[in-house]
Amino acid sequence: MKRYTLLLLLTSLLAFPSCLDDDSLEDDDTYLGNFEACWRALDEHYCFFAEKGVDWDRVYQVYRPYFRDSVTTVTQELRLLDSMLDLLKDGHVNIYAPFNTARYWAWYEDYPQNFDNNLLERHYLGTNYWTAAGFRYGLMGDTVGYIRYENFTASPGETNIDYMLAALNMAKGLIIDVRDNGGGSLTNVPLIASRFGQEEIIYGYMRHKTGPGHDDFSDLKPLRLDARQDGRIYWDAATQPVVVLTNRSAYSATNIFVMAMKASDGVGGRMIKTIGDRTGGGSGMPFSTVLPNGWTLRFSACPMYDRNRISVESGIDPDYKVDMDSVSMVVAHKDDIIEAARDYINAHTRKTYEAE
Amino acid sequence: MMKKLLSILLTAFLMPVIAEAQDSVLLRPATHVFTLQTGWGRMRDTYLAPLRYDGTSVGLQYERSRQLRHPMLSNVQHAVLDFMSGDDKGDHSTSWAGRLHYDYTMLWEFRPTGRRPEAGDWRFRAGVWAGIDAGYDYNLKLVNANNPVSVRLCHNIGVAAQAVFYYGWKRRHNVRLQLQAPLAGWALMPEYGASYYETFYLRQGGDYLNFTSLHNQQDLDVRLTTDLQFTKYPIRLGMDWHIETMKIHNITQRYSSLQFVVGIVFSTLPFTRRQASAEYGIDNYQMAY
Repeated sequence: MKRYTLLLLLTSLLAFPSCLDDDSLEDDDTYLGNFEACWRALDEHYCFFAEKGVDWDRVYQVYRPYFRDSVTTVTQELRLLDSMLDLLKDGHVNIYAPFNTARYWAWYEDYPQNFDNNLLERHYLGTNYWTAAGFRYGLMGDTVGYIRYENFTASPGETNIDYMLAALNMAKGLIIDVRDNGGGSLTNVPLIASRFGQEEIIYGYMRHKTGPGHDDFSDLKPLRLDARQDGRIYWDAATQPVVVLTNRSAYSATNIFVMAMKASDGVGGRMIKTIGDRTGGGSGMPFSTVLPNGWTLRFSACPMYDRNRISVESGIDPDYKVDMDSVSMVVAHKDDIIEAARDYINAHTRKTYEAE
Repeated sequence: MMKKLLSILLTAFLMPVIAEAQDSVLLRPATHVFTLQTGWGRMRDTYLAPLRYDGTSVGLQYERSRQLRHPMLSNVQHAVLDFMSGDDKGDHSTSWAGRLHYDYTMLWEFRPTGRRPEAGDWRFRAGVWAGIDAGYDYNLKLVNANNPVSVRLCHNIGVAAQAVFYYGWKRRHNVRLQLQAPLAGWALMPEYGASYYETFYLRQGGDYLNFTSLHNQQDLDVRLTTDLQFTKYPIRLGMDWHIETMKIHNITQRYSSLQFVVGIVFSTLPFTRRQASAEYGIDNYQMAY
């Protein structure tokens, strides 16, 4: 009898781990299961349903029958999921499958590009520009400084920024060109934007989901630009105006960078303007999860707002709207947005040069 | 009721101090156990993905136990380093997890026979422990995401129990069943959709520090082992079941493992033979185990 009791005890212990798990959290690796997992992940975590006016329950009712009855291949599955996700009109919502990526790029594809890299490199940057840590920079003929920052995934160090600002110090003003910058690391935003002011400012707000309900959000938490740190080099935007160049392809972290720079405008007499086209938006910090079939689903999870607590998910209008004219671009090799920025700086600079 | 419970706990913790004052010379070897363990592992962390990952686990454990001056009290220090790697059901994605655990346990011995245990005797101990548990879960599919890793950190107090059965000539072998479970503590857990950017970079508040108890944390560690002494150093063989479940802010973390254990047991005295002779007048002693 004792032996049987011991055997029963051991068997119970072996079975114990599986008792505590809960497979209801997980969907099956079927077309329908993947749809259910994708729909539920967004239902519980996506942060812009209310702002975008999407009835996600209705989406479920419309799409579920297709996945239950019609889908027979993985390409169909991805295409159908892609069309479902397109309803969110969000560039941060993607599915990464091994053979393709479901995406929504209408935030820039439906608008003029307002940027020509070839024109920039051949007629503005030339070959003598300096480059470090993702920045390409130099002085234009009229001593206007120019910084090209193509990607926020390139993470500069504090020292990189010190050297760059020191090298451009004699400029009348500064152009920061973030057109076609699709974003990257959000931590680079305050790192760079803090160098154009002396005092700590709140440049926006962020919040996150606190539960699976569509309206379960935390309080707004401030996003700050740091106050001046000793030993670092800062740009004096009160005498040397700064112009940030934007277009529809300025997205995600770039959108937030533009938001931060706009928040600095006017603080302590700073002249920081944006010229070009409206940014593409993308103010939901993305999270990702894995579907039962191994595809990765990315979605906006933590919304960000400007200093007036207004969402910048759909983009930020420039202070001066300028479109590139194709005739001046092709015939005169002029980038109208850069030229507008140069005009602004030449008209507003307070930089004085002492006679040697 | 609460006062009674507190006074019992306090007495349990103060016992060694009281006992120390009463008894000055007693040979109390420390028993060290190093074990290597490997087996099956399972993990699920809904902060990353709702999927369950099954695979293998491998770990190292160190256990140091020593009788205190009071003959019925002993302490155990227990450290665990564990790694798991697993794939989801469809073998599409992989997750890695690691865990570091340390606890300090005070055990009170119950002797049903009322005398020092001999071959064929049972020895029962039960007590309380306090410990810290830190871990991570890293999903390879989320390498470039803002949430590739989930971090775990908790501090608990709990209960522990041991049942040891000595057998064989000179009670050289034993079988032991050890159980350990937390009762209360705190755990670091991000809010439902909070990003690590907010947590670590913005250092924004939020409800990150959470009280844990049986309502949101159900952990259990069960070790069934046998120590076999055929040579100078006994070897330990057995199995270890470990289950961790935590549900806070609608985030579910579950880790479990079933591991085969192999290790070595040895005893040390906290002084040299020369010290033993000079200070305690003991010239011939055997390392008791």
